[in-house]
Amino acid sequence: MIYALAVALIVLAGWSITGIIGGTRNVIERVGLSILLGMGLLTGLMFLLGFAGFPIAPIVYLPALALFAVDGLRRMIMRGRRATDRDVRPGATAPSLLDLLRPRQPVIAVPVLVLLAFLMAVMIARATYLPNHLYDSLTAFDLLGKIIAIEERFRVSLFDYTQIARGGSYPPFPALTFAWGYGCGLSDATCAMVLPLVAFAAWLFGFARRFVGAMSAWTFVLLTYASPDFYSWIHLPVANFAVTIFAAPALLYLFAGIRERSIREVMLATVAAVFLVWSRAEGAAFVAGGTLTLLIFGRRAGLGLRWFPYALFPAVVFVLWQVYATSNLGGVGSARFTDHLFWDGDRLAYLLREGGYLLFYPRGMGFSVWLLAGAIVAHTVTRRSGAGPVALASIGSLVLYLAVFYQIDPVKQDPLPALLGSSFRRGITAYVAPFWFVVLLSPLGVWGRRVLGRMFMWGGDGRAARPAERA
Amino acid sequence: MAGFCAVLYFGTAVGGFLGELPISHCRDLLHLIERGATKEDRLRAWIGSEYNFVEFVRKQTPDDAVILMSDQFAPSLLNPLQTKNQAWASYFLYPRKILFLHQRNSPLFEQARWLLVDDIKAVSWIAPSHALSYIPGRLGCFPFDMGAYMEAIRAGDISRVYLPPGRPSRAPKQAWPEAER
Repeated sequence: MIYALAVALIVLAGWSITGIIGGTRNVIERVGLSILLGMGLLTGLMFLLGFAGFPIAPIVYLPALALFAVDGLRRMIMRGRRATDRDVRPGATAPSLLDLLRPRQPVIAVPVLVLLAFLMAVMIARATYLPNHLYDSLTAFDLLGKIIAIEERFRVSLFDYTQIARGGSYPPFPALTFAWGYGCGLSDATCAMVLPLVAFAAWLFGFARRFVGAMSAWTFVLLTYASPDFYSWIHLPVANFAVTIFAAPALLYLFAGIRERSIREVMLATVAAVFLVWSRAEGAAFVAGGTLTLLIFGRRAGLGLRWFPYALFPAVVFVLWQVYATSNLGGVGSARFTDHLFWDGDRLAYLLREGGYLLFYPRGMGFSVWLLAGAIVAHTVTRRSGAGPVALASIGSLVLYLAVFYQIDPVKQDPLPALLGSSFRRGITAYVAPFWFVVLLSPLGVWGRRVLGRMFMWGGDGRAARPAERA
Repeated sequence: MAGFCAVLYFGTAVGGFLGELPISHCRDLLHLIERGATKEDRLRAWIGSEYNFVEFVRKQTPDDAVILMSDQFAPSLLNPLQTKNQAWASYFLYPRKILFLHQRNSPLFEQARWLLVDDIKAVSWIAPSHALSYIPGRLGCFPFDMGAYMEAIRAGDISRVYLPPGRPSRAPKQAWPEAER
C-alpha cells in the first residue's frame, strides 16, 4: 500500500517536472519520463532531508515528495494558463499508444508487440522471482539501501567499522532506490527495478514516436530490449541500470532540442544528466559527450549559450558528491584512478582491442554497433544529418568512457580483463538505445523502414515525423 | 502462477540462447520453480553453500553480536576475493557487526564476543569442544571471552594460524593479460 502511494507520488512529482519544463506533450513519453525523473527526485529529496538532519523514513520523505508534487502541479497549471508559454511545436503532439488501437493495423504489429510484451514479462518475472545475488550489488547498493531503511540516515553505522567505502561512496541513487523500496515495505527491493524498467520502455516508445511511425517506434523499443546484454542486465540491481535509464534521455533530448531548436528539450536533458551523475560517476562521460555536441550544434540550432546548465549542473552535483563522500564516507570511487595522465601504448592497444571486441560482439550488444557503423557510412555518403548529434554525443562519450578505464589504477582496482568483462560490458549497455536511435533515423533506417513498411504493409510510418522534419 | 513460471522459464531459456546464462542455470531455475522454492531456497540455490554458513552464524549469534573474523577468513568458501568478505557477510548478518582482526583500533573491538574460524583444530588456544561447528573440525563460530583471549590475539596468534608461512596474503594482481574468450 505504502509502496503504491510512493509510486503515485513519484509519477505526480515527475509529471510536474515535465510539465513545468515543457518540451513534450506526448502522454506516453511524459508518463515514462515522469517515473524516471520522479525516482531521481525522490532520492535527491531523501539525501537532502538526511543531510539536513531529518530521518530518512517514508513518513518524512513521502510527505516532502507530496509537497513538491502539489507545488509542482500548481506551477504547471499556472504556467499552462499563459498562452505564450504553451508548447505549440508541431511534432510534440503526436498521438502514440492510441495508434495501436486503430483498426487496420498491419499483421506484423502482432508478433512485434507479443515479443516485446514477452521480453518485458520475463524481465519483470526475473526481477521479482530471483533474489539479488550479485556481489557488487549485495556489498554496496542493496546492503547500504537496506541499512539506510533501518537506521534512517545516509551515513549508516556500517561506515564506522567496515571498509565498504569502495562501494558505499558510489553516487547515492542506486542505494537510495533500494532504501525507499525497503522503507516502503518491499521484502526484496529488486522489485523496485521493475518500475523504471517499464517506464523506460514507455519513454523510448513515446520519444521515438515523435519522429517515426508507431510500428517503427515499437520496433525500436523491441530491438533495444532484445539486445542480449541489455536483456541480461537491465533488470538486475546494479548501478549500470540507473546509468542506462538516464543516459538515453540525457543524450536523446539534446537531439530533440537541436533539431527542434527548443531549449526546453535541452532542459529535460539537463535534468536527466543531473540524475545520471547522481547514479554513477562514469555518467560524467555521457555529459561530456553531450556538452561536446552542444558546443558544435548548439549555436547552429540557435540555442546560444542557454544550454550551459547542461554542462554546469551535473558538474556541480558531481563535485559536491565527491566532496561529501570524501569528507563523510571515507573515500570515493575515483580514488581508484591514477591521478595523473600517462602513456602506456600496450594498455591502450589492449583496451581498444578488447573493448572493440565487446562492442562488436553480437551476443553482447546485438547488431546495434554493426548497424551504427553502417548508419554512419550512410550518413557520410548521403550527407544527411539524421540523428547525427546523437551519434556524435554517443561516440564522444564512449571514447571518454574508454578513457576512464584507461585511467583505472590496476593496483587499487581489479585487473583490466576482469573490469572489461564485467563493469565495461555492463556499462556499454547504456549505449544500446542511443545507437539504435541513430540507426532508426539514419538513411539506412529510413530505407529499412520503407522496405519493411512495403513488405508488411505497416503503413502510417512518418506521419508524426513530417511536421517535425519541416520544422 | 503457471503462466508466471512459464514466462520465467522460457525467458531464461531465451537468455541462455542469447548467451547470457549457461544452460545449467535454466535447468536450476526450472527445478526451483517446479518445487515451489521459497525465497530462502532461491538464495541458497543462487548464492551457494556460503548462504548456509551465514544462516548458521545468524542462528548461533544474537542480533547485537560483534563478530571477529580473520582477514583471510575462509577464502575458498566465502569468497575468493578475501578482503571483500566483510561487506558481503554484513549483508546477511546485519545488525551483527563484522570486524576484521586487524581492526584492533576500532572501539567495537573490545565488545567482540564471537570469532569466525576456518580451521578449528589450528586454533590451539581455544578448546575445539567450545566451537559451534558448521563443518565439524573445520569451519565454525566460537563464542569467546575477549579478556581471556585478548593476549593471544594481540600476540598475533591468529595471524600466525591463518597465514601459514608461504601463503600469500593476497592474490597478486595481474597487469592485463589476454582475456579468455
